Amino acid sequence: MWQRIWRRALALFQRDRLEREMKAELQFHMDCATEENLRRGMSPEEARRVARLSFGGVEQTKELYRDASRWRWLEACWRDVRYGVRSLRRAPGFTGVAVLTLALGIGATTAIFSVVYAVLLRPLPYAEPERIVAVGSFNPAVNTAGTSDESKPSFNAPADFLDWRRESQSFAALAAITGTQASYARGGRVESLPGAMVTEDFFAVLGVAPHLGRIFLPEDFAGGAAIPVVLSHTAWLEKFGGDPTVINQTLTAKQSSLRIIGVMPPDFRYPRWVQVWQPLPRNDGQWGLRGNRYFDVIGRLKPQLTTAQAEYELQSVAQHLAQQFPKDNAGWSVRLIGLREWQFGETRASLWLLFGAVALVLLIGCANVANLMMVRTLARRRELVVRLALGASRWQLWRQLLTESLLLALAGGALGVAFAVLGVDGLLALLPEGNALKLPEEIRVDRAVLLFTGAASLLCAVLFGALPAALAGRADLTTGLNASSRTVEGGASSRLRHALIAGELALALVLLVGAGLLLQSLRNRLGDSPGYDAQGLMLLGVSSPLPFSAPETQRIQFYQQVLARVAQTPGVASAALTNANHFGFLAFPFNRADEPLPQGDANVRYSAVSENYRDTLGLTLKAGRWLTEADSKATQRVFVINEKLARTYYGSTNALGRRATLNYLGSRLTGEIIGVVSDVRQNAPGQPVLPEVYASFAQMPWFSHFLVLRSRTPDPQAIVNEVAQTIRSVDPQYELAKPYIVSEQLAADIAEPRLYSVLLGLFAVVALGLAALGVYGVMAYAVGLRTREFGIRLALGAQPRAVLRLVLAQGFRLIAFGLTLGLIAALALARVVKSLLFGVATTDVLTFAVVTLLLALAALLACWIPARRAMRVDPVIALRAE
Amino acid sequence: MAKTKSDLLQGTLDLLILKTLALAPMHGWGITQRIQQISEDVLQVNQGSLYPALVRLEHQGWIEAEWGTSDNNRQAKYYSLTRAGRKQLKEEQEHWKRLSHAVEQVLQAS
Repeated sequence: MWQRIWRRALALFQRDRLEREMKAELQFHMDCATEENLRRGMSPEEARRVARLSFGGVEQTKELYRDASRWRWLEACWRDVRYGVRSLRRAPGFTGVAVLTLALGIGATTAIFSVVYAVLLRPLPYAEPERIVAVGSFNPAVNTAGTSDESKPSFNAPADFLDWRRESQSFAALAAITGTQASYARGGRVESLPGAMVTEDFFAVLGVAPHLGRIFLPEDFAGGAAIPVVLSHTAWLEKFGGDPTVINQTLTAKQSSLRIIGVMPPDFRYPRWVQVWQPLPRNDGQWGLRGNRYFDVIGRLKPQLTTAQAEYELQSVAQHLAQQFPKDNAGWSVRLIGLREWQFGETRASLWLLFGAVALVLLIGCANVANLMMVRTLARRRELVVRLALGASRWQLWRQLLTESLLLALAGGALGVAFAVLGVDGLLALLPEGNALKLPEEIRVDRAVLLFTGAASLLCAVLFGALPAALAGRADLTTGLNASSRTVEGGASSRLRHALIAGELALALVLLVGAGLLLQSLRNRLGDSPGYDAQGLMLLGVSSPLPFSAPETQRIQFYQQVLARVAQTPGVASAALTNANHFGFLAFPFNRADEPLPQGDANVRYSAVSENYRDTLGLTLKAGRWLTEADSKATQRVFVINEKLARTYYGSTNALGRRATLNYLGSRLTGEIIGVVSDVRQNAPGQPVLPEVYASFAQMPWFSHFLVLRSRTPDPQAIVNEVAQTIRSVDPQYELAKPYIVSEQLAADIAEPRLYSVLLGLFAVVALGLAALGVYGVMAYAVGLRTREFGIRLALGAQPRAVLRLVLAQGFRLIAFGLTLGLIAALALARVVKSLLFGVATTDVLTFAVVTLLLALAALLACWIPARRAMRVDPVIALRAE
Repeated sequence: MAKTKSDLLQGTLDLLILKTLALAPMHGWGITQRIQQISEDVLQVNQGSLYPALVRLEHQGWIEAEWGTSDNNRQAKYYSLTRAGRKQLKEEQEHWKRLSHAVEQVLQAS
């Protein structure tokens, strides 16, 4: 079989040799026949004549011979390709527009697909990734994750993890992860890498072997001064120059030392931001915490176990724990989520939406090219008919046209890949540092993506090539040859092209509605006030140089001293202290002390702040009083709550004077609520405000703090050095950390929705342009065909306006039909974007009205240009033209 | 077109070629002569069918060709049976026998 194909393929390239051999063989045959005849006594002349006669047609035999020895159809295809290239080159305008349209469509689709593929489709680089799940604690009575998606589970408590690991039978391995910073001194400088502390089975859950050295052994978890660490491939390359001798190297740190024991392979990135993994010692203080949920837990299911089975089993364990520890665990259960969903669940909907949108743009582009092709086919009708008349089969014509479509699609695809490579780079550049999608190592145009592009190009060729080809199949010999090129076009083809344009308009409207809704959400998000004025606001990390063993009062004094001096710095308008680098990022269990909540502890944000925090942020006091300098270790513990908490857990009753408890790292601290302040939105724009408790840092200090600074000038960056100098006057060892400019962070928080909205907007605008172009094409062609008719009408006394109306009416019907179709589709499809919207309904009348009007105007303009041309037809020229 | 005294049934030519080549490797002219000879001039092979048939058989891998020197000292393309060809010949012979037997039966009945 293969041999046969090979021989025939070979024959394509050895035409000359085969031809020679064939001639020689046939000549030999002839000579033998002649000799035979001579032997029979014929004259030489006679012998040759009879031989040739008996042989029959030499040329026919040769032709049959050739037919049998080669792939005629392959040669025919090659001929079609060459003919196609020639014919496309003769029409550079058409070819250019078609290839460019396709290249943009295919390029954009490929770029988005490469993101979709990297984030949602490419198999995770772990052993049997389908067996890996993330475990999340979940309490239906509490918005556990604190995001607008209330069904999302949160992180997990250390003590819960230990119980799950001991009691659950479903996991081959279960591991917990918590973030840390790995700092070490090298070359006289302190370097710090984002790290994770992990439990024994972490690498076993993911099933990845180290690139160099080893991973953790059980004895590494005993705790000790020399901490064994495993480096990420990136950290190894960037910080250690890819030196294989780093293994067993020891790095000195402030209180301990780090010993490098291994390096992970390049694609191992879990959790994403981590560059260093270190053991979470078995004797660590946090293992006793049950009410505080901050552990990332992942597990590898035992073979043949489904996620649902494991979830059911673990839920029964959790239920048991809820009975055993009602204070911390009442109402809490668990959920199991696939690893990919856990990492990228939030972006999935947006990515598929973008992909759908860009595919629609490609579809509209295809419709436009199909339209161009059909017009071209009509214009080439004479050529096609002549070829039919000369004996070409319809199949051959069809094949010829399809070859041309294929050539266009492949050229578009090849150019599209170039666009896609640029597009992916641009896309990644638009994402801010630290965004979950910023994955330059993973998002790329690779083999799988190219395969997709190839398939997409072929599909396009079929989509826009089939219609014109079908049209050509109907070419009729007699009418085709008789008809001049300027007759009225055939009814069927005109209907087909009008239907295509109506479809384009409908798709464009769907995209415009989606983009309109998203852009309006973006505007709402941008206008979503965080509850404070972000301008000039900056957070700067500062931690006490005193050891943790030092008395708390000393640490408090240190911070008070720093704060007092910084407030005196000339560039600083106002300074305060807080414990959270993002306003209120710590989640603590909260309850009413006198009348506990029926559903158990609630999840609230907790901020330990200084008394000038409210002034620095500009929060409004709604009731009672704010924290003062007088609130200290010596006085009664007091809390200030935000409006959201007051509304949620005290409703219409007065919260002032009531007592509340916070589960503060394992101990339940009770305090009196003395005030209510206005809300600060803790999460990204568009996310809900969460209940929050403020306490005086002098009463409940945290391990590290941040200075909240408002600069006198709009750009807080200007005062960074000044402030660092001031801090060094208190702590000469102070290492300046990266300042956290609040307005920049707010912008980065909405970078992703902004990117989606802008991209969708861009796609919609392209769709609008393409649809308008399509309408223009169809109308201009129709007017061109009817030039004679208009000439006659005008010659017979028709008003130019009447001709204008005639054309516009035709266009109007087309547009009305397309828009109606689009509105129905948009209403049906708007639900898809629901989860991405903020402050706007899926059936927002304004959006629908505005984009419909916009598209209608663009389409009418596209009609109006050819209509005006029709109005200005000069009867004399029009009639003489034929 | 040269006339044949008896038109060859579709596929029969392949069988005849294979059978002829089973006796000895031969060139195209030789094959026509041999078939004519053995069939006592009843079967005459049309060159227009012979050469395409040879190419086809070669592509199927049943025969192979090699340039050699003929009796009259000229370069000629010699065809010989391959192992697969031998197997094919056996199969086609069986098939032919069954077919001719069946035809015979039908003719006898009438």
